[in-house]
Amino acid sequence: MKSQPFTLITGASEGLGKFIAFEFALRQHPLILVALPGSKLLEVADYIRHRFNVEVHCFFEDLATMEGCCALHQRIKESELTVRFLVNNAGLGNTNPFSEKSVAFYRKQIGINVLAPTTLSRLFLPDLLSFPESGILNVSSLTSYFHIPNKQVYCATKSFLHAFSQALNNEMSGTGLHVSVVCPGGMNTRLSNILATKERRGISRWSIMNPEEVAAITVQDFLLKRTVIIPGKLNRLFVIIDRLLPGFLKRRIIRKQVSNAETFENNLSASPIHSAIRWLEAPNAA
Amino acid sequence: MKIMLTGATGYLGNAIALKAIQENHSVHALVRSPVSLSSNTNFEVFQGDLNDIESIKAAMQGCDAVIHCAAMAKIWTRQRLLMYKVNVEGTRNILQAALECKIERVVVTSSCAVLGPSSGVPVNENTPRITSLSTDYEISKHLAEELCRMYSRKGLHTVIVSPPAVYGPGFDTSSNAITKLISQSLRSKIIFQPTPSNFCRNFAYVEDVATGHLLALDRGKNGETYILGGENISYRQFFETIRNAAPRKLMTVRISRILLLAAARLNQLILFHTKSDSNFVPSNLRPIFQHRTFSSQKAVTQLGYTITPFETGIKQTINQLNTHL
Repeated sequence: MKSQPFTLITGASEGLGKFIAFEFALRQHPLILVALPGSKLLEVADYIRHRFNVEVHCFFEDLATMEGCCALHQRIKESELTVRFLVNNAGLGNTNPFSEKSVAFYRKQIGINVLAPTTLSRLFLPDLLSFPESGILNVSSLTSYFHIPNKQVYCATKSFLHAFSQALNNEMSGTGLHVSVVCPGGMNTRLSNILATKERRGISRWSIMNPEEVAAITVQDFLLKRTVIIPGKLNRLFVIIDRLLPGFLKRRIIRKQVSNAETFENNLSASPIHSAIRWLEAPNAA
Repeated sequence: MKIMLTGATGYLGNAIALKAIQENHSVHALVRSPVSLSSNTNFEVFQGDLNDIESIKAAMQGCDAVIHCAAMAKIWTRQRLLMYKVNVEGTRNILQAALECKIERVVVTSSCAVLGPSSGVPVNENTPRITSLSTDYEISKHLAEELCRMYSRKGLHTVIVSPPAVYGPGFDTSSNAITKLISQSLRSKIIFQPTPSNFCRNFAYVEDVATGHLLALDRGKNGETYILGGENISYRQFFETIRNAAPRKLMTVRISRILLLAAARLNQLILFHTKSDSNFVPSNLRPIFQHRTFSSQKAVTQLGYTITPFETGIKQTINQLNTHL
């Protein structure tokens, strides 16, 4: 093998992925970072090279398609880089009634959240198995435990990763390959999330974490070979409560929460804070 | 050049106004309440408000350039929404008016707070944030920057400048906290030093920053951001420089982080019941226990920005304060 073993992180230009990249760089892992064309990935890579003095390679691919995933694998092979740790972080969320988004959107979402991690795990499997110790980290979500209306497709894709990771991990016992899945709760990633957090009160505010904290816990636990990682004490408590409550009660609580959230979102969008976000997200903004 | 300036009644804005007049520009100052800031014939005061676009346009009449320095520069306020109204909607009104009045060049004052804390290497204009945006001030200034980039894509020549902590002679306002700290220490002969004081921060001399605004107006590239900083020094050096430059001996009282944060929290509790704002709140003190170093290299090479050494700047500040005491 010509080069040193790399850690590949998808969706590394912003949000949780960026902070996961910082955490691996802090532990001196050489990195392969992947993000969409047009993202600020090069800035992230430059900073990591200067700050942590590790080798960083950048690839711009849209992983929503089979071609994107295969092209990424092909280009990494051509660059003679080997992957020892694979982090499937890139994802696409949704919060809307099922009828409101198009089939094309959901197919794209399933492409990024389900097909890309499956494809990349399979394509890089020979690489991963060539090491005495290696790992796959799949970024799922706390919603994989709670089947939330308005996040139907999102929580289903995250449940897929939850099941896939645990089954694959069990299957790979005895080889050196370890598979982890992380289920973060609400995070201050997008600006609209940060602003929403500021308006929240009580439990729904306390449970929300900064992505830098989530990344630190995730990478540490992944390297300690924990299979299911749930960052945050309160989030772990939610999962325990979820296991104890009967189904009908859970469904009622979730429905209540969702309707609270809807009122909350409506109040929020009327606030002057959000006028700026509306201007920036207006179609003629660019 | 004829420059429309906002924030001229503030600490930095006033320094910019003085510098602009000194360099033979004419200034149209947009102010909320009529004040006599200067008797110079090149200085005209226009009464208006950032949320009144017609008053902005009136002040822009006949101008070639705009420097938008006005902002609600508070870390904690009871009026959170007002912070967004002033810093975000106000900036949008300025940019929209500038576009409609066919202003040639716009400089908008942002803040290094948007770039966040540093770790190991000084932060530059392209460094990704190592922590999430958190205070309303950071978020509002970040949104204002995004609006600037949006208008620069629409064809309005817009340059963003980002000063870190600014010190030096000038108006006694809440954004002039460092000069206030020095003048209080000189008067009481006691200086309070938080410990641990090994954290580094960037301190910019007010005159450098004011000159930097005019340089950015002259040479700044459309849509670009320039950090207008000073030297990166530790708090230990900061307090030592003040002690050495003081005309009298100052007694140093060291306060631990826990005590300082507890006092700030108590102050915040009191603030909830009285109706005033203050900068002495925990979220404003946290940066004292973080590294916040910045590199002004881009402004130095591309704008010809110069940095006054911290020691010189502090000496000039103390001299100025002594003549006023």
